[in-house]
Amino acid sequence: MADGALEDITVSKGPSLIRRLGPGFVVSVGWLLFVVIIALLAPVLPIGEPTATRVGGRFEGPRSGLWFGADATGRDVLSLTIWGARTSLLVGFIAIFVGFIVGGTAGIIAGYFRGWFDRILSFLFATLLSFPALLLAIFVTTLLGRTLLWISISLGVLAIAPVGRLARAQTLVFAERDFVTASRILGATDMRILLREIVPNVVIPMSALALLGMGIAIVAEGTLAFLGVSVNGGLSWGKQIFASASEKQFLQDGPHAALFPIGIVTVTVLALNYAGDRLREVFDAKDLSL
Amino acid sequence: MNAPLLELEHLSITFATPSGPVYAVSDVSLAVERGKSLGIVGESGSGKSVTMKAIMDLLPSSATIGGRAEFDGEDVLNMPSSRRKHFYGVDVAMVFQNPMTSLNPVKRIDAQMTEGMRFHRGLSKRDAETRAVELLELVRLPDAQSRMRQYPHELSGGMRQRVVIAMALANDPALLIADEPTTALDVTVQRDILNLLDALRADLNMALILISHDLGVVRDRTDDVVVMYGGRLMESAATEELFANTQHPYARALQMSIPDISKPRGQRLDPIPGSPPDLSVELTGCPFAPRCTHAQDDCSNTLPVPTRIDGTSHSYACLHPLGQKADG
Repeated sequence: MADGALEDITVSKGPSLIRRLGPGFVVSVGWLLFVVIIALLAPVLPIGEPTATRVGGRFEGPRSGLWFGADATGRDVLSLTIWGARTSLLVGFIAIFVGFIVGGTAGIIAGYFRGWFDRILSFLFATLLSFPALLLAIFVTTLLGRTLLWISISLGVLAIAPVGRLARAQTLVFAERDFVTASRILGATDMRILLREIVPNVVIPMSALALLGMGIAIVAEGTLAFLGVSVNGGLSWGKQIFASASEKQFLQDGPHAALFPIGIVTVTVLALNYAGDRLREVFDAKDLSL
Repeated sequence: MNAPLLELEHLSITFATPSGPVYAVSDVSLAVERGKSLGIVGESGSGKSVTMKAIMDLLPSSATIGGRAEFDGEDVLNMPSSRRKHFYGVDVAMVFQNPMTSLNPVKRIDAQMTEGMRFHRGLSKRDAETRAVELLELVRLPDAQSRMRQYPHELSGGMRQRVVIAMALANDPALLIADEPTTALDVTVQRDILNLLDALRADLNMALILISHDLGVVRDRTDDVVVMYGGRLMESAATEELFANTQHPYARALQMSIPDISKPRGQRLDPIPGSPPDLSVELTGCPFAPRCTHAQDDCSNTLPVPTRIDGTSHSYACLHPLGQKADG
């Protein structure tokens, strides 16, 4: 090997990505897709009006045609749950979208350029994190109105600091890597380095956080509903659960009216968390092997 | 062709830190000729990497650079940005220490390789890819065509370093700076990579600066050697001359600390006692004096100036050189 030739090494490619993410991930994502599709199709599905009362009797149990039973005013629980999914999923999605656009962008810029912007931003993040989360959400929604958009945005504001911190920390790691220096030597501008070298690397751990964050936002919407400050008009999982659970003796008369939506929320959030965790684990491990 | 390609004259680099200035490099002069190779040897903190970073414009803004650096008659340190853009990566390229971190893990090899070519030469995507495969074959990466579609984690460390070298060669640089290119690799792969660099230098008539902490690495592969310590030049000479006629006790000590298989079994290596100097204090004497076995009283208060042995390129900065052949 005096001339420096390299023997032919075949590098095994290892199991495919889906295999490494595991069956639990596939099931989780499958469930999430199912919920999203059902929610999107709500207007064309053969289900009754969610707001129509006396479709069934008061707290009537599940039966054929009324699969989830009826609630205190005889509304179809299945229909309520499906229509509620639209709001809850949208709130989760918008919230995390806001958190990512604002927090992610700010965090990456701070981590890359450092300096005064980084110091100010880190202080802002710390301030945001030290603020009682629910109070902040209630404050924002009371101030700006309890529309779906503002509730989503107020929950998104809560996501800015954690997302921003992760983005900043990840950027700090990658900005020091030699491939960034190499790119700079080759004449790449800061913009190009950020978009082509940093962002693709930072997006992976952030997407895991996005799934976890969406679950948190959905639960947070439920909490706001319990405090009576969720979406004004319209349906959501939180409002539906609150409406049933606040009826007197609902546990004796018709626990199903609350338990069905609670079950759906739990499984959905679990699926989000599990999928997020798997993503993080698999990509973290891969990062270590690099 | 005897004018040097890269020439540093009295280069000094100082970092401003919260606790005062750090004198990372002081009064370093060296030169590389076109197509020749220069080894820069020293232990950690000797200023070898910082010197090269100054040439590559990679120092943080807290650094102040003094002295001159000329590349083919051009002033490197005060280059207009329009020239700078097509200087790095075209005239001068660099290979980094750790191939694990010098490739972007989420981008395929082809994307990483073609980027620089398309930027500097305006090649089409297809032409750049053809050229990339040629380069990968040039660095003897087997199965180059299919490697192009792979991600860095699918390649071994040695293969990755070959890719990094291929990327550095993309625009036919006149000078390649390799900063400890094999430190992060297996010992068996190290030799292959070093031999490859040496072969490429000869084939492409490219100057090579090989930075290493290992004098043994540099010994058989470079035309000239510079030994640095504490940010200063200790000794510089043609490689053979340096080994045959070592003048500086530090250069000798480095040689003594290389394991030699021909030495009798059980014989201990001679490590250099102590640790490198604190660069935040401006030196008044020889930086190596506290660890030097040949040090005398004047070593700690007189700064040795580089002395050239007449008629050669051999120079050393020592008040009490080892002498022998040199007439002292």
